[in-house]
Amino acid sequence: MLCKLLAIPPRAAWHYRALDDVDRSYPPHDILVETSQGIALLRWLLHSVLPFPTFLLDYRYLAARLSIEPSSLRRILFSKQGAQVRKVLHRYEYSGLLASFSGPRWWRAGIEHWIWNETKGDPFSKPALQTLARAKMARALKPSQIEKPVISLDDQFRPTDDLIELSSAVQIGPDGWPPFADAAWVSLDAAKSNSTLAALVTPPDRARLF
Amino acid sequence: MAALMFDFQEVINEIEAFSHLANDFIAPESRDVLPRMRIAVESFRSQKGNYPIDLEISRVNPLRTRLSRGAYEKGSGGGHDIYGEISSKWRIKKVSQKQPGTARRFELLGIASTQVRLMCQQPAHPGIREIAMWRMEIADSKSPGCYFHIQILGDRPDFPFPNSLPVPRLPNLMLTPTSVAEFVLAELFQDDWVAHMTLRTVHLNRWAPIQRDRWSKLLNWKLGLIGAGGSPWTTIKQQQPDAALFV
Repeated sequence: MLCKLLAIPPRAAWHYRALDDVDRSYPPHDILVETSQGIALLRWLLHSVLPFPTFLLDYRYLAARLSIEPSSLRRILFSKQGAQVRKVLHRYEYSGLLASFSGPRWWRAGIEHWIWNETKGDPFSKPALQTLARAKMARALKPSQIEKPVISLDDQFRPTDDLIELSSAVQIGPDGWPPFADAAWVSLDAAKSNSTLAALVTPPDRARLF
Repeated sequence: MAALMFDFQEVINEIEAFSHLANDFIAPESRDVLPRMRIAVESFRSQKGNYPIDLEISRVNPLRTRLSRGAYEKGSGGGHDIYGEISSKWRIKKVSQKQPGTARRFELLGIASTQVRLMCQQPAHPGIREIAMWRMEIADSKSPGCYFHIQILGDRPDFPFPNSLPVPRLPNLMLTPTSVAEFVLAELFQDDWVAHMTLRTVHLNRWAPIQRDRWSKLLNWKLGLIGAGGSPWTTIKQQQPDAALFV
């Protein structure tokens, strides 16, 4: 039932991988989905999945994965050219429950499958990723100069279009951030200058604040 | 002798669990290394073709530990500030798959080596020096044994342990890159790692059974060999396990 409601493409080569990702995200059990008339599933998607980098990625996390500037992907995605980008990634776009709720999302498993194929098994090569993005999605996408980019959160813990270098980021643990989601990052400088953020820095990074 | 096999899902679970378990002990710039490795295994598994790949933690982007300020001795009594760098290369191939994404196992194709380098920050000398290096390896079928072994240095022509000298091949119990990484963390953080492993129950509950099962299989295999008579070491040295030892 979950596969159907989330519309995991049944014949995709990455179907089982997507299923595994969903399983790791503590979805409501089938029986609860049925007895709650699907409300449990909606609640889970709204509270634990869509706002975070989980088995679905929004444009920011997709951009970070491809080592391009999120703002350039946003501009293109929501312009006339966006249809072309959406077409390239169509097979990996999420089309299940709440798909139109807050902008497009893509299956992480599908995107990784695509990256592996297109980079010929070199899925973390920065030049290969940037070439892929610019050749297949849009020439105008701006490559990021950051070696290991991660998405920075703002002081309301919302993802921003700003990429920061992993080595100059600190991990924070905001309330409600799911354990199965990618880590939440802010820049070391932001944490040093904002006591609210500093209080949320996870133990291994705390020493770096001083 | 057929190549040693591993279960895809087990290795994926192992990397995932260790990635969380070790997070506090990994240098900030290396926190992407294990997630990347997991993605590589999953991506390889979900592809259609069956071709060999190098599953790799590169020396350029190694798994770097946090700095250990003498914590390699109990009570942080050591005199060096050191950190570890773990790199690894396993040449692997899927054993078989009925449809894409469903391959259950992969096999090793000769290269299965995890290298550990200990790097020292010395206040008296500028820069960072490598002060120790060893490799924890699984042999290929032509190796004289022992099959699971450790070699010291051996990547350069300089003495001691130049690359022309492949001995000693010391017996080894840590096989996968993550189990080697656990060994390194336990060495560099004698007190903290032990304390940490009693706290992180969620990820430990996923990590420990995988390791326990593999250790049991490995030790039972060795126990079986020495029970067969003859000199235990000479027997172990000559034998290779069945390809399905761990699956």
